Amino acid sequence: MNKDLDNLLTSGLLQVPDDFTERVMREINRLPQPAPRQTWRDRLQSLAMIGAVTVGIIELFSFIFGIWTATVAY
Amino acid sequence: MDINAILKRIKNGDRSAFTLVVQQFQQPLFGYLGRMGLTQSLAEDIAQETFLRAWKRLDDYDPTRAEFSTWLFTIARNLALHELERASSKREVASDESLPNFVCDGMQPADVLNQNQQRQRLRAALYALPVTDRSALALAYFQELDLAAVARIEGCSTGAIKVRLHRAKQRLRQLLEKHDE
Repeated sequence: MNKDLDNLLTSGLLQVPDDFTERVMREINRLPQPAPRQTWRDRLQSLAMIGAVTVGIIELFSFIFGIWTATVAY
Repeated sequence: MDINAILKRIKNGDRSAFTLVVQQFQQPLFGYLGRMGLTQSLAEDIAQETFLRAWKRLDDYDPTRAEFSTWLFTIARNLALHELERASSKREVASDESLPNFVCDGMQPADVLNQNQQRQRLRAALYALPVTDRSALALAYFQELDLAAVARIEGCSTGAIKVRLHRAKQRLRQLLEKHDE
């Protein structure tokens, strides 16, 4: 009985349609190439980058402002 | 062909390489969906949706965390359970007519009839099993998945899977024997 049951379960109850692969690929071809999804780590990296760029710009402007105030004072 | 090599080709923009993924997994996927007690048309829809979702989320797949088959069958399982839940809430029951006729060359009509009857009995018996036991059993008959992979897909321990499988097989045997009497 065990073997019969195993054979029955392995034999498969359904058939793969002949055109199944083509059908799936037709749908796949309508979809865009899979794009990597952003993880929390990626988001953190992006935030850190934005933060660093902002600090850099502030530093640059304060440097320019420093030079301007020093030259204006004379 | 090695699945990771195929996935690498897809990542490099070779869309047609996905055909190899479909060809490699369509048979086991239909086998699984059949053992889950789904009809031919529902199984076709779910199998197609499984491959489409796999395509969309291909970048989420991490080969260091699980085998591709485990990942793919997790998608299929979730879709199948959702479909079965929806069908049971609508009281849709798989009809025997939805089983395709398997005819092999050289088979006598009586053999074909006998085989189809056996398969219909098996299907009815499978349908009588609790859905979680049925899913574990359906997955266990896919050779590429070991018990640990089945447990991972089912979201429980290997021990729990062993218990479910034992219980499912025992119940299935009882149901089939009862039918034979």
